[in-house]
Amino acid sequence: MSFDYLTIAVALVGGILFVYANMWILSLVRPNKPSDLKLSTYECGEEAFSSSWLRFDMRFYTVALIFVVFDLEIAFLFPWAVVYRSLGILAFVEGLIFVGILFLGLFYVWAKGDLDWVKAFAKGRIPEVLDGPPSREVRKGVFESGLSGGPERNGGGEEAGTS
Amino acid sequence: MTTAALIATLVKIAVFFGITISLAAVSTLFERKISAWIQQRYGPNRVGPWGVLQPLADGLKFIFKEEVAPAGANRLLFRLAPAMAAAPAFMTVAVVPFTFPLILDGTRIPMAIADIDIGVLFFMAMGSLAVYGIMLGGWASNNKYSLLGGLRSSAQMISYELAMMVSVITVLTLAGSMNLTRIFEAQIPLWNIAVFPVGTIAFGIFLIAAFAETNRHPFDLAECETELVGGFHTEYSSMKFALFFLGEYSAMVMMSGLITTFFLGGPSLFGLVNGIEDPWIKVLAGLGVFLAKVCFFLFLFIWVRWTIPRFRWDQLMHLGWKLLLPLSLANLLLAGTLVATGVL
Amino acid sequence: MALPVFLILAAGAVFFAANVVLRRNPAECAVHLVGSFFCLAGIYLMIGFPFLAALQLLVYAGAIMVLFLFVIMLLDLRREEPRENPRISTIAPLAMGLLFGLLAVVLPDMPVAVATGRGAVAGAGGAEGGKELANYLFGRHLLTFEATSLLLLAGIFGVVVLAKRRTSRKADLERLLENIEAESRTERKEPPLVGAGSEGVAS
Repeated sequence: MSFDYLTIAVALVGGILFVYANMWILSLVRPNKPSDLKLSTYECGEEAFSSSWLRFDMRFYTVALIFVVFDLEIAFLFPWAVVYRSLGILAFVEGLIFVGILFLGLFYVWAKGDLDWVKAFAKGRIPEVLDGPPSREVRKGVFESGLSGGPERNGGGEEAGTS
Repeated sequence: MTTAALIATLVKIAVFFGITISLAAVSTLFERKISAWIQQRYGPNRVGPWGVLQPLADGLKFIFKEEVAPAGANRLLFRLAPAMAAAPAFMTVAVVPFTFPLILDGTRIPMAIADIDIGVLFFMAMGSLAVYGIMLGGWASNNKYSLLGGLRSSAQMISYELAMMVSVITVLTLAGSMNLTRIFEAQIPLWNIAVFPVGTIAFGIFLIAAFAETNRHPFDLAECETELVGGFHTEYSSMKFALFFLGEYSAMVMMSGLITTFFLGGPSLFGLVNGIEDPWIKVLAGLGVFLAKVCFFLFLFIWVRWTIPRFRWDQLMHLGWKLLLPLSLANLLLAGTLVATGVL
Repeated sequence: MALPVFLILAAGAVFFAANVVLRRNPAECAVHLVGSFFCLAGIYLMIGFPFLAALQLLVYAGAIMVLFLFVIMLLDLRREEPRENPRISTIAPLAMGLLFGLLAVVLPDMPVAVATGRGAVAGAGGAEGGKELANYLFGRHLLTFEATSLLLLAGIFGVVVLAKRRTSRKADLERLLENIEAESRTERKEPPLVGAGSEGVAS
């Protein structure tokens, strides 16, 4: 039994050593002539600017949070499934309640719109989905910058992407 | 621990890892050949007859190319990421039963490198670690394309992992064990894919999730050449890129092997192979049947890639969270009901 | 056989854990924490809890650390200058030492109990892949099990509330519009935001 796990552990350590030993040995035969241009970040021929370690969209974080909760719940179902046949009707009722509560959580997140990826622009133009209008100065700035047409979904996305 | 068992384990490691890596290498050639066939081109045909030596030529090229790491990258994580991308697929090889257990003089030698009782959990744990290679590779490069590709891909992988886990649990309720050898042995009378409707639905969900987990078309938003250049591996070159490449194809081979084990009865073929008397012939025939099924799924992976267009990002999240997850949970409840009422 | 393996695993766990504290880059810290989880999983395997080991990897390494990494990437690393707080860096180790001392006094035979498997779930990892654990969980601790699902449901509510507050559409858009405005006024060297989704709605 434990021999099997030891096999896995040996395979893991051996595999990692093999990979890095290979990389090191092979790095002796391949050319290495770095230059500033080679070492710069690839940005499709544009001159690379700024670090890419910036804040990104909050919704990735929300997805990860929801995932953790569901992952925990589903992890509980593994032992449940194994003993399912031997526990009989009791296991069925337990599983029913558990999965039912899981469903409840899923539908709650669903109804709250956290599963919608294009939430902010779901209804089309920006002003319609605002909780309230943006402050005057901000709006003015936008109008001046030529975004006054009320961008459609894609327009908004592009602005954000290239801003 | 006897010497015989040690030798058996070493032989199994050599053979099964060898099979996996060769299948991965061959499938890179077939990817090109089949895509050429689908698009009415020739594909690689210069290196050796019919281009069969192409994977070898690719390997040599990977070795002799200069390795470049962008100046702004995080050195430690940039080096770690390719290994973390390739390792989970290779670790999964350890638990997949390639054929029937060999029975010699009353001793049963299971034909998985490590025949552990929590094989399914081991596979799920390794699958959940596969996200690191891509996420860290994308982040450590300090390239905007890489970051976007890595982020998208990691969010995609965790989303589809849930549906995959639930469909595997459905299989567990049918088999009653987490040992992969027992799971396929329970299917010798009837493959899980034929257990209508629960097995069939679980198979469909697992198949779709497998495409998403391996970042294959139509879910390859991690690479998405048209908008993200190379996605998370834009900045990788030489052997590090080769590791990502090898990891992707090994993951495909392993997913094919697991689909076969979970839903298509592993090495069994309508009781034909199971009935063979001679232990060695039975093991070899089982291996042949298993590999034939794996090759079918590898072909399917490639076929789909060159046939179906890519999903848009919001469609992808919609499919994972709003369709596959509720469907798989409902399917699990249905399976539970059928088992509890004695239908299955 | 068992002792050297244990020593290697324990040394690995301590090494990685120390690196979590010592490394400057938070992403590197997170990866070292994953390494530490691996070593811990190995130790669980050694004392006969394969099920726990697999869950350790599946839940902690595979889910919670992924969340951590997302959070770390969500931070703007350039703005988060490493701060030296002399008071905290002296108090924290002392407090931790005290806490561990307390644990050692309160639970003197805990490590022994775990090592010999006479803890709460004796032989939980037993022969048949978590079957004993399952019988225990779904038999004796039935209500606790169901209560867990309620706890997790509360967790989901928490997620929604948290996400709501941070991604209030108005605030989102105001920030977006502000950025556009700033962009239009001055040619800035650095973009304020990188939109990460294909829709690219940066928050």
